[in-house]
Amino acid sequence: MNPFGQELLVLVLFLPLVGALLLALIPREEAGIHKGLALFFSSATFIASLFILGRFDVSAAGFQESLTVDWAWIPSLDVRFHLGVDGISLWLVLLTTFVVPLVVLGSFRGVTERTKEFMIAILFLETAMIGSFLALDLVLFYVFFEAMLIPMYLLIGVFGGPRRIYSAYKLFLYTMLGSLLMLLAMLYIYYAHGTFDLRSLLSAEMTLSEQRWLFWAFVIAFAVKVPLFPLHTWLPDAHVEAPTGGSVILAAVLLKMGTYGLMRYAFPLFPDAAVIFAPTLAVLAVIGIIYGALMALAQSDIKKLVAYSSVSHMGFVVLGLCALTPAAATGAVYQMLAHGLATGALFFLVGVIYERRHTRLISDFGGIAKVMPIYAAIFMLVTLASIGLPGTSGFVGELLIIAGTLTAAPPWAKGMAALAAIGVVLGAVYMLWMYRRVFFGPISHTENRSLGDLRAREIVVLAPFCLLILVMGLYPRPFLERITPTADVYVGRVLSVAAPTVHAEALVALADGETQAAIVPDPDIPVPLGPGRLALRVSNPDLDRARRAAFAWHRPEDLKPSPDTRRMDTLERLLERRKGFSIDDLPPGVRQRLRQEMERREAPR
Amino acid sequence: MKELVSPAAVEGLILLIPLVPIIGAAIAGFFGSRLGRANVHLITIGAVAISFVISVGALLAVWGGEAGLVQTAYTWMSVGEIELEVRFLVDQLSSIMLIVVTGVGLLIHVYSTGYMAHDAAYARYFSYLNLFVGSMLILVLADSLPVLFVGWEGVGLCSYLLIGFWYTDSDKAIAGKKAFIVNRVGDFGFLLGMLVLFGLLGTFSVSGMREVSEGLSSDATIPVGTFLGEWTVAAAMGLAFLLILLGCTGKSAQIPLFVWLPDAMAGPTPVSALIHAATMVTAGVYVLARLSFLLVLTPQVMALIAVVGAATALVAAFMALFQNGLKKVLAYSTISQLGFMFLAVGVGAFHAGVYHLFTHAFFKACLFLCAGSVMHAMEPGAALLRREWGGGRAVDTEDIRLMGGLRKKLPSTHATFLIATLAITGIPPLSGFFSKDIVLHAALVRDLGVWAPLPWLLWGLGTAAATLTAIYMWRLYFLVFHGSPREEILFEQAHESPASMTLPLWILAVLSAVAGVFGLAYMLEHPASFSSWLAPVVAGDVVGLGIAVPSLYLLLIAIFVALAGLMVAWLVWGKRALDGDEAARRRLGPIFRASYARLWWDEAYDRLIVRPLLVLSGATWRFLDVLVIDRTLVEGSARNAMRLGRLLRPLQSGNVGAYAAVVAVGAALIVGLFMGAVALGRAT
Repeated sequence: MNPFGQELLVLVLFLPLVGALLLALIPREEAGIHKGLALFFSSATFIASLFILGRFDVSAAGFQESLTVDWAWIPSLDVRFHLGVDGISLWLVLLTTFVVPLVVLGSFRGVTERTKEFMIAILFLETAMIGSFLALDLVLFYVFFEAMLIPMYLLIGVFGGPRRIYSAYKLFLYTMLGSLLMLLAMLYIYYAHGTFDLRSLLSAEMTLSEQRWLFWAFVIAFAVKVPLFPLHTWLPDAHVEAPTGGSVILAAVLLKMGTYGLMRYAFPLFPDAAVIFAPTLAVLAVIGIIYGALMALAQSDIKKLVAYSSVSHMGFVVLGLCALTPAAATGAVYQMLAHGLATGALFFLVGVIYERRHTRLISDFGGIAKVMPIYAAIFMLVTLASIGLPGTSGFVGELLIIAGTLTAAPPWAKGMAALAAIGVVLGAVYMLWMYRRVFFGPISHTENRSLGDLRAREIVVLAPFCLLILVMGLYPRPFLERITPTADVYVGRVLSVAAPTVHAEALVALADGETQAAIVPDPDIPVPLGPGRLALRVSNPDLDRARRAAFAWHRPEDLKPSPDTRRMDTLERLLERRKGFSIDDLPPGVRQRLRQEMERREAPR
Repeated sequence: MKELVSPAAVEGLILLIPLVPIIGAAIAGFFGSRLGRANVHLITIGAVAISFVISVGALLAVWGGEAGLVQTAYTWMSVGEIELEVRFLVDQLSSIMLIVVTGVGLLIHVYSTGYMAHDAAYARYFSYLNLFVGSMLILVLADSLPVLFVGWEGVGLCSYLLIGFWYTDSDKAIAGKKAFIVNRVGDFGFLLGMLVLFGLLGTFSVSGMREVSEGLSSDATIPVGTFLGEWTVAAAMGLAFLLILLGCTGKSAQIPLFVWLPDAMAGPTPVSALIHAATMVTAGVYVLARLSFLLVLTPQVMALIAVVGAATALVAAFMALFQNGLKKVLAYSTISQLGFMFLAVGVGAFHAGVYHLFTHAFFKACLFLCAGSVMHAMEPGAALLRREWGGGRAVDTEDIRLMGGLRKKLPSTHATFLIATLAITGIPPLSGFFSKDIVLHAALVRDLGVWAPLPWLLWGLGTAAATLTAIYMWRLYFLVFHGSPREEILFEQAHESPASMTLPLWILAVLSAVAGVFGLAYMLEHPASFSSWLAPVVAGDVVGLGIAVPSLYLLLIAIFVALAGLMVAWLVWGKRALDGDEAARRRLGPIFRASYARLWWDEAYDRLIVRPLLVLSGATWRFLDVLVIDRTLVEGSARNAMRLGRLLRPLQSGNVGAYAAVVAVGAALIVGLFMGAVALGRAT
């Protein structure tokens, strides 16, 4: 056993907040001290978070036993202060703690006024982000999730560009729309199932119609953050107006909150709804991939171009989550990290020339590779990572997502994978087009002739990004071996629960006599089914769609009987609890056929 | 024959073959400015030389053995069913490529020390060049397709960087970008094709695929997915290879993706020789030969490959006819020659494709380096001329309309160019004669069973392309080296290049002359041919030499065609019957215009793809993102919320009297409704 596991998590979570409180006590004139302390606290948090990595048990899937905090918080509502780490949150926490000190260091020159408030906002934001990734209780998560909005709103609204108020409002409205829906959903869950605790909820039984509503409430909240088409238009504005540091955090970490939420809450909590609506989400994701790339092509502002490229790249992540194969899910997590690095670095790089020239229009540059060779070289490397060139971090995630989606069982998955690959082409088009116009050619503006190359501090900020881009591209194993087991858990959770519940629903409908249903050998289900999995043909089209969706994922090898597979008796219990009757209440003919079918299927084993 | 070097001795060194040049690239790239020119080229040339030596050892090690040598570096990814190892494989096929890449690469590094001697970015150049060699070697050695894809994209990147090497010139930078993006379209196909193969066979490794596909036949069925049922092997492989073919047409500049290669001539000439003639552009041919054991399962796609190759060979040769840039002509010639290789691969004569790749690497690299030598010689005169003419008229050192009679000034360049021209136009006994005619013969005799007249069509297209090849190459030769000079100043200032440049020329010229022995061996049914050498690794015709050997008639036709081309060129350009564009335009009309404008291919792409894409993206952004989502939905809902608020504002006026009135009316309404309901309840 690992001692101090709890303390470590609490330390990483609250160290930035402690720093923020300390900064609040120091007079605002002491800008230097504010900068130094902010850098100190964020760096200390990073170092502390490395210990989480050190203690992470590679062989264990799911949440780590030794890295858990579970304290009572609001006993009357059974809200718990419950934190935990698995292969997904581990890397996102590390991404956060890695990026923040670099943001602080990178903002030393860019932020000249209200340094104190800026640094406090950043540190406060860091605690909120880490908290969101670690929380395993819905209320706790919601508190951190909403807390992120406040400093972000201030970073844009106070430190932003000329249209900052408009952008800040837009960010706020979009996000509030989603999170209010999520709040309602959470309250419903509490009243229906009596707990906010994620782990208890995972074993709660929800009906299909319940899941349907709750799923979309959660998905909309997270889709705004991703951002998923068509909820993306706040992002370009927010990025253009945000200060460099804000943009970096927004792109590197905040967007991941959306995909993390999908992976942690929306899909595993409502698996039946997830398998039904995964194709819909996948279509939106692929639209986002292509649409984001096309939009990037139309931009004249470098920052806006990079912002739209995020829409495209995050679409890959959502696609990977929807495919529900271990490879695609692992790829999705990897792509979150890769995108965080590449896009974070790109926003830093854009900030570098913005600080020097106070413009970000592509047409205001040209030929600057001549005067800023180091800058051009680093920009090239990051561009290649963004394009997903093999050997850089971007390729591994994209390859796993496309390969995982292409080999997923549902027929739509192959088409989606092929369409997503078009994004790979378009990515090169807009990035290289921008790069060519900014860096190559003769120097077209005389004021660019005297641009200085990167300063030592800027190189210090960018070097870690470059290093990780290469390491993650060439030697992804240390990352993958920690992600994969948890990705397996995610996929297994969604798929293993989905089919039986859908069937229970079908049985209920059958018992109610609402629909004409029959138990027949179903030619659409191509494989010998595991115990308890019954081929039902229900004339209720909605239900039938759900059933088909659930089975679409199962390939022959997935359907081998295993001890975990829920058996018929589980279905019976479900029926009893939900509708207050047992399988014996079914019409005798139906019941008999059901039993016969069950016996027939279980007999050979 | 027994192996000459113990395989065990080489096996541990395979990893070093690509690694050493990459390390060289890193040293030259990071410390180049501090090292000084001499050290930079010593390090980078040394790196390629080390790779060359190990490659020779590798070739000798597989000399007698059937099995390839394998070295595994590490596990790249291991997720679920995806098991990806960085593993390198030396077998009969990759060892030939190793020799070509490191051998030609070495010569071109040496040549570059002369050619780039005065360039400010000397270290950057050599760093890119080494990185290219390293990437190309990864491509060649990779045992699994994603690792091959690393090399594939790596060489694409180096090509992009080197085409745009003189990036301050916008046209050159644009050419680099175009090359990358067009190739990216191909990569889309390659990536998906590779994944389809993975889906079908469950492995990414080439040797794994070979094991799995053992005993598969075209008519067997194979499961393609739970809901897609089973397809025939021919159809499933056909899909995979259609996608891979798209990738190969990109990298190897075939129809429809060849448009980037002529523009790629913007790079330094040694780069054109190495990347855009001898090595990188042959990657498509190499990959198809690598996967030949799967490709033969889908004869329809093979036929398509053959047609693409033959059509490209002819179309590109036609486009080469009236180009005025020395390198432009050679670029189209490269596209055309790659078409011959595709033709060979398409008809299943993989050994012929690889053999033509081998000989082409020598004579085309030689031709490009000669072109570089000529341009190098033009430079001093061009500098004078620019001063004389002022800015009014550009002086292009590769413009053949300004040359003539250079054989007196550049004896070595002239001699080597002549040898390489004899080789490429197929004059016996030089190498091109053998390699090209084995291809054409294979096209005629190997029936894929797809369409009866196809072999004749392929042979006809190929022979026509060979005729045009002779014409445009001799045109080039006569215009550049014969007759009287067209621009006195350029001629006067011209001087032969230094030994660092002429020595590689001579080596390549000798190789392009003597590399025909393997073809001769093939025709004499001697085992020292590519056909028997490659037999363990590629699918193909080893036995049944009776029909594999070109008949005397075909050889006579080939020789006749080559000589006829020479005659035409001599009459038209050698004797200056047509000198300059105007004369040609007048006499040849539409033929000249179509060739000169390269069949308007680029313009068509611009109008059909590039501009619509830009218009589409701009219009969608303005309409959907800005107008519909932002103005209407987002801000619209904010506006409506505000309007609603304004509408409801009077309700909270703070006027107690008004509140009381509302309460009273409300109470009355509720009471009324209640009483009504009660009354209704009584009634029923």
